[in-house]
Amino acid sequence: MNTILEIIGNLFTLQNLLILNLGLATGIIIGSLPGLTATMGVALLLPLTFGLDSVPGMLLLLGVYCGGIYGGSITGILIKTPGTPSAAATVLDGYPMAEKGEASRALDMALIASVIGGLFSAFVLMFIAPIIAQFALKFGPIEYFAIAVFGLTIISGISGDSVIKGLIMGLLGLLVTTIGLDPVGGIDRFTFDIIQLASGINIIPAMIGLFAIAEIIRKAKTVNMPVDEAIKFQKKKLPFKEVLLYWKTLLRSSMIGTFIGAIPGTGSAIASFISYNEAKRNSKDPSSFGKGNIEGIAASECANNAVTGAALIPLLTLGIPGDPTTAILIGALIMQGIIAGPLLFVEERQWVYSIMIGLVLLNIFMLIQGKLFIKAFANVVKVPTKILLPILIVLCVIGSFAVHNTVFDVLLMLVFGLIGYVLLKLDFPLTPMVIAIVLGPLAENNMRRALIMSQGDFRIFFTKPISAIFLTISILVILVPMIRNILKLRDK
Amino acid sequence: MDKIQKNITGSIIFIILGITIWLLIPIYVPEDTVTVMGASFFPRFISIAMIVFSTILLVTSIIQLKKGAFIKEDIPGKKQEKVSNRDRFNGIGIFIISVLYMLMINRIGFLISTYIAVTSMLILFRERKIINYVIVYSIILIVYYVFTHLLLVQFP
Repeated sequence: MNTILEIIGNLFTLQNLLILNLGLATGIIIGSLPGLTATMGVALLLPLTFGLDSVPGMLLLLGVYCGGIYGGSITGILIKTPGTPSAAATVLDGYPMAEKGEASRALDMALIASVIGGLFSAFVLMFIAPIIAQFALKFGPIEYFAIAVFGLTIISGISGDSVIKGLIMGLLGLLVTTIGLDPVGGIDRFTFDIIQLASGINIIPAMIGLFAIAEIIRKAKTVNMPVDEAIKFQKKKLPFKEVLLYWKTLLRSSMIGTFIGAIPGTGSAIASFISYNEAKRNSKDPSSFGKGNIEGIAASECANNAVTGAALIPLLTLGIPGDPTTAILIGALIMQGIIAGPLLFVEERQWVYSIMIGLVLLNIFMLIQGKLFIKAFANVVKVPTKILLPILIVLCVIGSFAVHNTVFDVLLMLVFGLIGYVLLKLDFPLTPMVIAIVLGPLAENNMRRALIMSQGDFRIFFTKPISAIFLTISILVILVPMIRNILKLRDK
Repeated sequence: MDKIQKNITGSIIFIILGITIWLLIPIYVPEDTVTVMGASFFPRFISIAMIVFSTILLVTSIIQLKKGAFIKEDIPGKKQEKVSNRDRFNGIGIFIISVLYMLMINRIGFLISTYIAVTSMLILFRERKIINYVIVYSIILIVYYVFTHLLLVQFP
């Protein structure tokens, strides 16, 4: 109890509260801008954390993450263009409500549902994560290798339209991690006599390049396209009593979002669509969905924000990023000298609980900010892309440069940006590549350590039940869609 | 380019990459005789897997093409973006400016190169409003101040 009071005391400093709110506001603004995702926001604000302590630094990024997911709903409701992919389901009922003059009520429901989902998952994180971490403490190299492979294959299987393309991208990410000194034998690999490559590819410039530069290049051609006018709205109250009418939907959506968020590779867009469909399926009037039913907004917004806390479960307990945003968060932790994994719950207990309690605080402040500044956030849509892109490029350059104060990292960022752009053009998903860049060293180190233990016998990975289960699921994730495709082709 | 053509192009790129990596391993990854699985094991495994999966993608895409399958790219409800011919090259333009910007940083300093880069980008985007130039310049100055004075980042 004393520890918790101490954590709360340390958390409630003016600096922490300011940083947390700055992150939230920035996240909501970035999320509101169509085309800019929460992931891109976290990547862009990452360099700001270099000069901060790890707790406020992490709270800043979590603020951008949560705010970004919620912010996507604002433009979705007002101009029928979701700010982020996770708000796509919100548009289905949000925009029709705005057309009927109920934009304010739709925005209020989006905010309250987001906060409820976020709080639910923050509490689940607080109670579940320590239990998983305790269990994971018993894991050795065999289990860690299996979990890394599992994370990678699941992500490859779910991202994009083809498992094979996801796997190829995962392999490309793994290939990137082989550049630099070999972690076991200390031998140079693919450094091409470039000194800066000896320590490997820095993940921060790589991620900024893949997520921000690639998107900026793509967006550059649309700078002169007209932006839809936002629907003007008058403040109309949404009584909390009315929100409570949808308690079943909110609870179900919170559970769906939390469950999906905890599975690596899924993400908030999938959670919001599943939750929306479930709400429609369970509704007494399913035909009203898509025509301005406020319950649809409640379902999708509650689920997509419930992902935020849950995505931190595999991150904090196993060091496995569940989605691109948490992959960047792992990069931020590495920069702060913090290694995510079960040992955090033993060695950095105060830090972990500060982050978890901070997440609860974030959601409370999101409600306050949303209530007070919704009109200001809605004006974000007026910012011309023409002036936004040059500023974003400068932020990307600063972000990459500030990691090691070297222009070489800016070059890396641009190279990865170009690679990302070409791959996006060819419809290859970038998420498996990014996750593989994070998981590569974990997979390789543990695989080689396990094989050293077994004198090179690969059967060792099937001797422990946990690794056997994870590896079997991974094999099925790869094989089942492949066999299905072959059968489909044969039928044709 | 439709989806099948994209898959074929992508798979060919990755087959070439896989083969290149395989050929580069003996040159750029010295043999490790100490550990059971040497430094070249993981890259070798990756290159083989990349070649195998890319070949599967290539073969299935060619079969789909031969069977006349055409995967429509349009997503229902998705707005089709009409881009003017002049704006079509904005992506390449912004990338080239970024590369030049990077090359200038160490030579003429961060702040001056940043102003040259953003001005070039705004001109590329055919921005005519002076106020927007002023807004961008002011934001850059604030960002520069935050990083140099508050976060103590040393720029060239």
